[in-house]
Amino acid sequence: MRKIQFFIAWRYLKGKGSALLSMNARLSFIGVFTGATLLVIVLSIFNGFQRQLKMSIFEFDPHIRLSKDSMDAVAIKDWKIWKKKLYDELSSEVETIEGIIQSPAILRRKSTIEHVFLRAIELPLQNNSYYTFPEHFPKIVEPQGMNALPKGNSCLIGAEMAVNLGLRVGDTIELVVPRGQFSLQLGVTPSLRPFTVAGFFKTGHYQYDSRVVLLALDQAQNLFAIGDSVQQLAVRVKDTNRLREVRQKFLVHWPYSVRTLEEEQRNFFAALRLEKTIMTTIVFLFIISAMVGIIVATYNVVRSHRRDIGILKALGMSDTGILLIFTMTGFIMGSLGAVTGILTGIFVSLKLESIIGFLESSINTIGAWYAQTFQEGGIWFKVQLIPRDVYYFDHLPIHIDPAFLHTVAAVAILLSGMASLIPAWKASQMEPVKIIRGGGD
Amino acid sequence: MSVCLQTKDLVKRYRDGELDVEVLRGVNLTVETGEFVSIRGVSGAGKSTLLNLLGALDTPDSGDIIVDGMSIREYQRRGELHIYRNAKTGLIFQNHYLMPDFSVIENVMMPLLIRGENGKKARIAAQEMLERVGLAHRTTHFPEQISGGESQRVAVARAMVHKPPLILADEPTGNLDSKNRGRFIDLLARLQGDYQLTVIVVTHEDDLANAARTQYLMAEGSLVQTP
Repeated sequence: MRKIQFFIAWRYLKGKGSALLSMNARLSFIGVFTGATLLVIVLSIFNGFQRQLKMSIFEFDPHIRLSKDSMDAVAIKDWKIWKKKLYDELSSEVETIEGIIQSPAILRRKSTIEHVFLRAIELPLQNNSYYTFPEHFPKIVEPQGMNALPKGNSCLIGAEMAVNLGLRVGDTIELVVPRGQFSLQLGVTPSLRPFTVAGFFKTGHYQYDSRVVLLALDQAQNLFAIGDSVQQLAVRVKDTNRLREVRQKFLVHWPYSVRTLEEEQRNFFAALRLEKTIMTTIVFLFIISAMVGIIVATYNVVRSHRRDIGILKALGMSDTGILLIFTMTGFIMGSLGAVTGILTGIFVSLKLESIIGFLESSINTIGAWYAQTFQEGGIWFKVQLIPRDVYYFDHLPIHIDPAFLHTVAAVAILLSGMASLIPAWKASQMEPVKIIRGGGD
Repeated sequence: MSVCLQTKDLVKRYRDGELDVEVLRGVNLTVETGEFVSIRGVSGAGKSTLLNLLGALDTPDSGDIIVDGMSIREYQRRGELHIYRNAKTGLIFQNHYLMPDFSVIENVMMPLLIRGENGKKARIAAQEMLERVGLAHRTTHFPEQISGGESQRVAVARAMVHKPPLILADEPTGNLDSKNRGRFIDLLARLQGDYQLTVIVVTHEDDLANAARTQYLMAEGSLVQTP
């Protein structure tokens, strides 16, 4: 590439005045800039939501479940031996292996009966009086700062369940579960025991927070009357992106049922994949619209410089030189728009919570003033732009994916150049004699 | 004197609806190096067509053009017509055709920059050329800020800055008033003499045509030398 082509392309974009860009270039720049900014903001929120949803599931649920049968009806008596053996074999892939009990149960509180899921996990016992919480444990929202569960008939319930059933810390609930092993002759005998609600947890996933009751494993073993058995071995892997590969390894060492979280939550992950497809489509549409914008802008630049093309050719500029000039105009417009748009998008995304907060407080201040001044009674109901209770998060989840940004920037810049190739090629094919004579192209 | 330019049986036809119009009917012209040639003729006689062919802005239907011993068809075969235009010709048009987004000096630098000349050297050469045409004080102005006569002088500077062997001028005084026309003819004649340039000028104006040592008349697609 020669300097002369860049010099001419830049002058066509800048114009001869002191302004940074000519009107034509400014309009194209604004198009690409706005597209890139909105794309980054929208997709950062979109990614944030997806990530939060995924995290809430991967944080709370075992990544791989090992059981003796797919219905979890057979208790695993020698689970501690299996746990050690499997961990020794697969320590490179596995973070933890824990024995758990997970079962549907009935929660009774006075006249209220609710279908819940009971999950019992291994909690380290301290001083034989309280259980401490492991590393991957849901956030306790009530009482705040709680970091241990008292030994005895204590349980934790989801924060949404507490709201739905009107439960408070210290209340007593009754849990009803099937007792012992199922037998064809006797069927199932229910086991009922009162538990004190010691606190509320929040996973960020409504389904869990409204349905799950957490117990210490030994309490659940007593409730189910299964001795020192568990129903499943819950595996947390080091890399959740390698679930399928790790599953294959477990199949070699565990001759029974092996289920990954992705298999169990098939619909959920299918929905996430669908969202991803929609996201990709949005990106694609953005790129198409940016390309059309660049084509139109470059056509305008070519049209308004037709005579220059004739002069440059008469002075000895080659067809390739002309092609380069107008390809570069599109390339520069696209690059400037994409880079500044992405940077602005990142900035706005990072400050989005404050921006929404500022908008909320501004609307509420103006609304309250308007209500007091012009309305009888002067009552103003506060506006929440993103109601926390509806969307179920306590902060706006934003995730800026650097790899994605690189891709957007690279594709936008590359396609800007490619989009301007068509008008640039037309310019390069113009016959100088026709232009100089003032004829058509 | 060596031969700078030679045309051999140059023919050019245009299609006008259903009709083929033969504008040039086997033009033969030989111009020696350092010669100042004028071609006169009425409008539509084919003067500009001949000049466009000499400047490689258009291609002949038959015949050949040889400049400095090399056929224009050879340049065309090699895909190097742009090199011919830049290295062999300097063009001056009736409308100055300066590029409006570039300053006067940038316009003059353009042939050198296209050739790949270093920016600094090109600026020095353009500055010198502008001094020669009396426009050293207008270097940073844009074409819209200078008069028609000045614009045409800038066009002369642009045509000569890269010292091409052949200067082709198409009705260069067509848009100038009588005062500026006189100035322009003096300038062209002076520079032609100083640099020993080969100049071919087509015009229908007698005063410009008479400034040339060799004069031709173009009529019905053929050239006739006039005394």
